[in-house]
Amino acid sequence: MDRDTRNMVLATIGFLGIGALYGFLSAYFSLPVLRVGEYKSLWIFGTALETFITHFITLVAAGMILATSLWVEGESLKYSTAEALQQIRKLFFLSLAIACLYGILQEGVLPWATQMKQTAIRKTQIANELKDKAFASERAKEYSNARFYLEYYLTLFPKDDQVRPLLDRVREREREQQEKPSIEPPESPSILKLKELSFQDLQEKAKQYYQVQDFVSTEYFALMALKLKPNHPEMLRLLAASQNALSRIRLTPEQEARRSLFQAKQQGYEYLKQGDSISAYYHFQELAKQHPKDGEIAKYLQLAYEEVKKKAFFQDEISLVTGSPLASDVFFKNSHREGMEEFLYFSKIVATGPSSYYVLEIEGIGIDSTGKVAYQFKAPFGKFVDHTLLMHCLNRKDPKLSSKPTYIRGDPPAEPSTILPVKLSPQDLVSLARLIHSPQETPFATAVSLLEIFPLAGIEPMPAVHSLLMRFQGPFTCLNVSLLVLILGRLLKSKYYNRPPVITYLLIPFLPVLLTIPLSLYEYELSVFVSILIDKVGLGFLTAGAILLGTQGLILLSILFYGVQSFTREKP
Amino acid sequence: MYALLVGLPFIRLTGSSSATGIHRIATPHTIFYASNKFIWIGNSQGRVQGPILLYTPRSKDRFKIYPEGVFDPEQNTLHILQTGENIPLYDRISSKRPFLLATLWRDIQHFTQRLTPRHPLDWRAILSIVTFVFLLVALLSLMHLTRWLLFNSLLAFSLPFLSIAGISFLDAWGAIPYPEYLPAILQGGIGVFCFALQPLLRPSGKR
Repeated sequence: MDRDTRNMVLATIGFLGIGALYGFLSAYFSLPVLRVGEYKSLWIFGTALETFITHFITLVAAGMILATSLWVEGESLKYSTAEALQQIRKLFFLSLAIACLYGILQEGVLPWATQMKQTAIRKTQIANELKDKAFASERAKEYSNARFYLEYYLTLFPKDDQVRPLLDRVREREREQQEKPSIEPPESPSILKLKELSFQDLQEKAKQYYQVQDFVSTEYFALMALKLKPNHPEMLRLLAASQNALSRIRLTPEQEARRSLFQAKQQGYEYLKQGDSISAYYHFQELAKQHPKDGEIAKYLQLAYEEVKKKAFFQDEISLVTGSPLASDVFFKNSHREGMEEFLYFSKIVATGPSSYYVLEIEGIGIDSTGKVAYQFKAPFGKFVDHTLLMHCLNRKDPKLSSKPTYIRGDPPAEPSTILPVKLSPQDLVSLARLIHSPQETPFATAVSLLEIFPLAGIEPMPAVHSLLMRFQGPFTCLNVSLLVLILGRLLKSKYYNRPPVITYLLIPFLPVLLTIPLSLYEYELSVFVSILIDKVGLGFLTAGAILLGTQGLILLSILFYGVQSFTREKP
Repeated sequence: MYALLVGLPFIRLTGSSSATGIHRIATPHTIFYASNKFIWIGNSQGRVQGPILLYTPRSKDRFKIYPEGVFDPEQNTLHILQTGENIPLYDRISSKRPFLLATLWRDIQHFTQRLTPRHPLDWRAILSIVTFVFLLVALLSLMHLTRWLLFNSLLAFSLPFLSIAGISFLDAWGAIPYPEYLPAILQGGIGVFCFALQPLLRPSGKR
């Protein structure tokens, strides 16, 4: 590296350092304390980086123009064409290196910094929501939920000593509450499924009980067997015989209880047979509370639970994750019926795992071909299962606390009103929402691949395309601007033998501000040009990108030509 | 000089939005996001659009549907006939002017309005034009102020903007009444200051 280049690099680094300092100071003094809570340093760091990278081109331009005009050697420009070309080549490669650095900062560091800033805001939101939910759960005497929220909160804020006594209190109350026995729905896969009980099994059991004159059990198993083979003569005979015997004898209280239990089991089984798995689930859950050791009830409950999961989900699945949304404010077209436009809005999309996505606050509207509202509904929660959205949210303990979609206008469509087909996957919707609301967070390649989803969601891609094209041209602008300022700096060089008067140094602090004016104008006009290409002319991303690249190339050639011509203006 | 005097009052800068004239309205049957609203338009027949579905997140009445509205390409707004509401569509594509540029643009607009004579003998406008031309001439002298050409150029580049911003500030402030000719005097004063700098900074001897 020669002395001139070293001077230029040092001046640029100096301005970049001042820019970084300005970024940190400006972030520190504009800190939104309430929105970022405990994540102040994360927000300040992210914002400072963002400010620094946003002003990178201006800072580089200021550093370079100052260095070339003040410290580069050589009194005047007296080059031959070959020497001028050599000089320009040197400046070009320096500019190219800076443009590459800018490209890395813009696409590698800026999304990370923006994410950092947004994370600080989102995490604070999570923390506030967790605390609110913990207090609400405690007031509702749902101590296990309250404990979860507080434990989760303390994993995020381990140093918050004010919450620890609260957690201890909640744990104590939870322990007191749990002294009363409660039955949770069995989920063990080891439990045999009802389907595995064949007709032969039931027939055999009915016979065995009849032989030992247990008519209550005989009646039950005969009835069960007849569900599978309604006209089976032997089972019909055993049923009649057992019912006849039961009508003649006086049952003991224990036998009476067993008979009632069998009838209750049969009722639950009926629900299952009719496909009303939700009623069956609550029915067997109630039975399981009364008969916790009954393996058969556990089997039916398990079966009902498996069936329920296909058409609904449980509130406690979602209540534990509402604080960490992957995306907010998702609005898209979900037309899947002929002559009907359906629009869906999701306030938040949250996830508990790689394939478990939930939605909070759903609103939907259907508009028919005449432009009239065919239906409009709202649902508090939803769960994604294989391109469908389940909107029936069950409370595990109390069926009255379950939620379903409420139709404000019109009638539910033909299919079950609680199950809605959704064209797009939750992953796509999350990416789409991020690209719409915070495009800078999405890496360039991912963002380009997401452009295909816009038409599927019925959303215009222009703003995203515009944002991507502006990002695409960023390094080229950096290249052109830095090359131009290097040439201008040489042309506007100081002709003092030593240093210029001290008073002239007053200009230096204002240099970035003054350079911001033409730079902003250039970027703004480029932005307008991009808007015209994609919005007025209607070009796609690739064509507009190619034209933009060509334009930047022409500007670069013009600068190079101007540079060579200016440097050879005064021939020896 | 004469051409400049006559021509300056006719220089007009439009006060319309940054996006005027460059955007078409969104494709029918497509959702677009502007003014913090999701907007969907069913059919487009020239300027008349409809039905129009508006969704405003986190508002009380989120879904609104209107039978028709009119798109105004001059203002780039959607006018809802039923309610008279105007929905700006500028920020559909984020091509807003940066703050510094927007401020500068507003000041220049204000300045060109000041230069416009209200009647043939509007002395305030004439004086403003004359002093502005004087300022421009004075700026030429700045180009040889020092031997540091970058300093000279940037000083000459920034002073007119400073003058324009100063005039705009004086007019916008309005807290203290000032003489009607003060802005013109300010311009002339800066011109005189430019000439006055010569003996202070101009290098002596052979350049």
